Amino acid sequence: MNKAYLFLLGCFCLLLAGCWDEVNIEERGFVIGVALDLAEEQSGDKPIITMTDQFVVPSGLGTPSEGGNNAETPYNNLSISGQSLFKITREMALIQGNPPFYEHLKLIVVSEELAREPEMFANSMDLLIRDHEMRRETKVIISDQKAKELLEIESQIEPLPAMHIDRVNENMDKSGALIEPLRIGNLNEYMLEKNNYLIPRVVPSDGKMMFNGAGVFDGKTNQLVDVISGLEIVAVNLITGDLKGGYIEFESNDGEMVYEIKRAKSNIEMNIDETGKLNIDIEIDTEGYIAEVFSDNSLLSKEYFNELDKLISERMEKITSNIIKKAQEDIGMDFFGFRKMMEERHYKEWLKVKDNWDEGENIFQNASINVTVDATVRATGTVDQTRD
Amino acid sequence: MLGRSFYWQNKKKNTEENFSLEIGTNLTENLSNIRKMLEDPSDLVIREFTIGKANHRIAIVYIDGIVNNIYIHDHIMEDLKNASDLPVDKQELFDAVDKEVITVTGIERGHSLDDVSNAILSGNTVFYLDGVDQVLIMDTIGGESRAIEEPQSESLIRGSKEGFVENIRTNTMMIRRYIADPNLRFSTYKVGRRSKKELVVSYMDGIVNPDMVDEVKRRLETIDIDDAPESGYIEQWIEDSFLSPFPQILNTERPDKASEALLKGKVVILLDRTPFVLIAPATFGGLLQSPEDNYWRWSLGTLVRMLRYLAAFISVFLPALYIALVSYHPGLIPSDLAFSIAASRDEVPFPPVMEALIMTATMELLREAGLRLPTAIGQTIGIVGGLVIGEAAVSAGIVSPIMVIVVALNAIASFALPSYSIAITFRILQFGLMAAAAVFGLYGIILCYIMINIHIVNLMSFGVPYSTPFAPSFMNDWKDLVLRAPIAMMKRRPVYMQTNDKKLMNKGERKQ
Amino acid sequence: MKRFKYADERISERDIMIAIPSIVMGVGILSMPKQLASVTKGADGWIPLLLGGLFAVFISWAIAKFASGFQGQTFLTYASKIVTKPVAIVLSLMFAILSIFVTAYQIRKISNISQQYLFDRTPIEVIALPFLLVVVYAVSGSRAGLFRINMMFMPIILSIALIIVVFSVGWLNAGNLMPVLQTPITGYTQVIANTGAISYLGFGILWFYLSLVDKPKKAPKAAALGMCIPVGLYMMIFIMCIGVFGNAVTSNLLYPTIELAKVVEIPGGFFERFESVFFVIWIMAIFITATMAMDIGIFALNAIFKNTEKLKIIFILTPIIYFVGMFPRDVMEVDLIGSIMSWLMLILNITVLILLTVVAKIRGVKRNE
Repeated sequence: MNKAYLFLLGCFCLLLAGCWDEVNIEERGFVIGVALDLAEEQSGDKPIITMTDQFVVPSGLGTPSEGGNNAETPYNNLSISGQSLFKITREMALIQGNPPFYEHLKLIVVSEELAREPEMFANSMDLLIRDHEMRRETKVIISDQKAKELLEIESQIEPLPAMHIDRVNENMDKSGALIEPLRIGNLNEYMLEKNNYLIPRVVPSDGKMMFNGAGVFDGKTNQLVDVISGLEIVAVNLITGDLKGGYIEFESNDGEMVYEIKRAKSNIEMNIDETGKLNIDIEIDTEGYIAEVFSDNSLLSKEYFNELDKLISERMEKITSNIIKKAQEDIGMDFFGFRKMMEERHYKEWLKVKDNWDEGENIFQNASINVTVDATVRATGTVDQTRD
Repeated sequence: MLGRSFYWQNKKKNTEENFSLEIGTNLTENLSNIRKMLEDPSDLVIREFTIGKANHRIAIVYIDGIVNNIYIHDHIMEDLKNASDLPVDKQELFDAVDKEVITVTGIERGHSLDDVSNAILSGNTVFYLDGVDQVLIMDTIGGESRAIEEPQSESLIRGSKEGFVENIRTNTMMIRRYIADPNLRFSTYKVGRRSKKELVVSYMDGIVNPDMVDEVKRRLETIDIDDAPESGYIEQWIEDSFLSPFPQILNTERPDKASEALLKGKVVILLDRTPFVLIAPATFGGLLQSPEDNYWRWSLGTLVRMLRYLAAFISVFLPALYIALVSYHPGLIPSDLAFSIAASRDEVPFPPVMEALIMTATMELLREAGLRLPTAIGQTIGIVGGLVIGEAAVSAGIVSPIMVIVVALNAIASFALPSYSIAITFRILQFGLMAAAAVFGLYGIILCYIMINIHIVNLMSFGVPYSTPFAPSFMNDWKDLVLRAPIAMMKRRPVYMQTNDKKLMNKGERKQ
Repeated sequence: MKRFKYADERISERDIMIAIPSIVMGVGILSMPKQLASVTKGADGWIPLLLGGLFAVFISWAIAKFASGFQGQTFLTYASKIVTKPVAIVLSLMFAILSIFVTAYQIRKISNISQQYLFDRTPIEVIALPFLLVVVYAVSGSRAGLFRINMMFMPIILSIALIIVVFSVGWLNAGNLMPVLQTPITGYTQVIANTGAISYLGFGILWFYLSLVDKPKKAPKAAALGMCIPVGLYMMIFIMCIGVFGNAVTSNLLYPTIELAKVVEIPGGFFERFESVFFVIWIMAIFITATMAMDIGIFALNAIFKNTEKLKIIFILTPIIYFVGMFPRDVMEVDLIGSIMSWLMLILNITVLILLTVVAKIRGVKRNE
């Protein structure tokens, strides 16, 4: 009997305890996108940030039975300026009926303007990593223009701009010009390890947007240093072996051709010789198809394939050497992750050089980096020639 | 057993009695005694006539309607009338009638009015002979009874279509037909001070653990009740914990299920006047099993079992999970679904708890209403309730469409469970979980789940832990738990029953 | 009422095998990778984790071996025979007090983590209370019931842990596991001091529960095997954490194991955030740890105060546990108390083991083999 009373007591306590955290789903302001800009009006010593939250307006999305209510926009962007992002999120609750709720946050857009300021980027990421509502899968991109403009782009397929960008961001296997989406969890890792990193970059234009290149970030100051183009990203992906798919245009004797890369592998060897010079040998191995041909010649012959292989390899070697040259000379930073590889594979040497990688003695900049590419054409699609 | 002065025990003290409880030698007086005792009811038949050359006065007494009239006519009246060369001496005549004349199979002698009244009230026929202070009690039990039909509450696709009926003789017969084994035991009890219903405890001697039978019998002997109209009374009297929401004794209408239980070393309790027999002990795993699992091939049996565990989960947790996710953890719902739930709940004025309570209460009402009404109307109620009310409630903005899905799925899942008693148990638990979810979200649900588990592991059914064979775990019994192993692999009787005869198969091999 | 042979208060060696991981796996695993990663390089933390594990396996075996020599005798009985009754009572009391602290610590910790991951504004006191009441409800039932609870929950707990490990393989970056074996020796010693050994605390239950075992001869092997389960699981989870997050991030996350669950995406998109599901199920693991610890406290006290009813002891202990649990002010204090407590527990166990073994040898106390 005692047990029974205890059981009942337990039940009552459960009931009496109250519901501090009960917030019904329709009373939450689902934030799916966050844009961070430098505020237009700056005052005082500390820079002021404008944070734009994209709130979902569920009734605008419509329930499936109602078929969507198009009169209403399915989202509502709210911008507030201030120094502390946390303070901004709380201020939003004063304006918006539904306080912001970040557990469904998909995308963080940071304007290049803000990212170029020293320490600003890292500071503004702090809340977005620290808060328990934040998830480590939220993706981060940078924007060429005002970041908030990106949250207003239009799309026929996806009514919510943030979701739309998020979807496009995943198309890495279609175009080599996209780097792997940067999750805020990985960003946290780079920031902690002080390794340089790339963040996908988006260019808005006429209410549309396009992924174009990536921003190079300094791992020590966490600020945007330079921007690389889409083609250069293909080269970076080739070097790091992260290429999931993409294409290379090249000039053959018969005119322009497009080579679609299906598989790419890279093998990187590095060592430091007695003089303290870093040598890196990169071997890239790719497989692919001829995707498009601007001529009417037959492609199917062993010799021709070998010739194509050579042409493609040369082309790839050229673009990879260019980007390495750019990294060593123009930007002066290692964004390929060689430093991390060094730490993983040659820990003892890494200990010696870790503070002189792309600063001080600039080991990376003085390194000799060799790229050899072995591209293979496997087939020519479903036909040999489309015309004769 | 019942004392001699049984009549007095049950009669109000202030009534004055003017008849004797003894059987005298005077027939007229004897007959008037029985008339007075029963206050001469209209269904009391007393047929007086004379037999033999000495024209001895005799009487046949029975109650119309509960006897087999044709049988009385053929085997008592005809025999008595056609009897010749009967002795003259009264006592000799009485013995001769007993031994030679009457061809009724069940016959015994009675010595008191209590014997007579008990006998005729249960459908026996009593033979009086003037001048003898004894009576003959002849078994002529009969009367109208329902034919054997398919059990309503447990119909299967494959399996016997026979269900138990109200008549306990028919029921014992049905079990006997399943198990033609000399070790099948039926021990008979009478329950009910007034109703004196026959109760049979059935078990397989040599298989069952004797302690189990002793414990069942000990508990049955404690029953002291006016009447047990249904085996539910017996169940509630002898179960281990009346506070538990879980049924500690199974009930079934199916003789195949009962006989299967007997062969597993369980005890079956049958009560007269009810088609529901009790199977003791029950375990949690057993609640989710149906005899049909074994009738189909093992792969199907296993899948169906797993489906039932899913159904059990849905019927207990689904509304609570809805409440927890919608009011506490919307982050757990996939984004698109979260937005559409938010959109559909925009118009709803109630918090999810109220919404869920309204819908589950409506569901319970529909279920109850559907049961009361004739089948045809019952179905209409189901359709009207399910479709019309659901649809109307959604468009009126009282509940959200997701809630209707949740409640419908929950109801369907609970009716997919093989026994009604466990379905009801789960529906009760569901309300507790909903309350916990409303207060603490997922944290409350898991605490509630832990509490249910604590309760289950501490619960016993006739000394057998309710949670076995999960824990205390018997690997051998896991072959017939969530999974259903091929028949040839289940070589042993359940270990948790601690049976005397452990093996289910002698060779243990399937011959090709 | 006569009960079935297996349904009485005796337990089998299989129950012991399950009880060991049940008490060992509690809140510790949630933050363990952080503490390991912060002083080691790459994934090197697995070495001290394994060494500590082997040590724990050995200690469990030794305690079980020793206690199994006294079949059917409670700790107090055989300890009294060996080191006189007053000393035995002091030892029992120390076990009881430490166990109660363990319960309080677990309850406080679960409330803190729940508040962080499941709630926001609900006060810790309110989160802790129902949990404590459920623990009390469990210990007020039969002791055999506790072992059955272990048996029912352990498969669920292990499978959720394995799901985390299996589904995060997709995020595994082998590079993160490098470099191998670059941790300085001081790092290892620090780890062993901090986490390696105390991650596996819980073998203390063997002193008490072995008196309930039917066939104690098999118990040492079962206890050692049981200890292997957390060793294997801890190592898997640690390596996955490092592999997915890298050493630097792991040492920065407060509860890397929960964050690991955050990364997991269950195919089918049924749960958007798996970490809540994981944590909610892990509450069961923490629950059985807290329950077993409290039961040991009750067991030890009940042996000393033979005439006091079990329920009375429970009702006295419950408020004490609650107040002890709610006493520390912040996360740092809780962790400090946790590590002090673990150390005391470890020292107590080893001291008792050495003390009893040596004194029993010297005084020639007979075991009933």
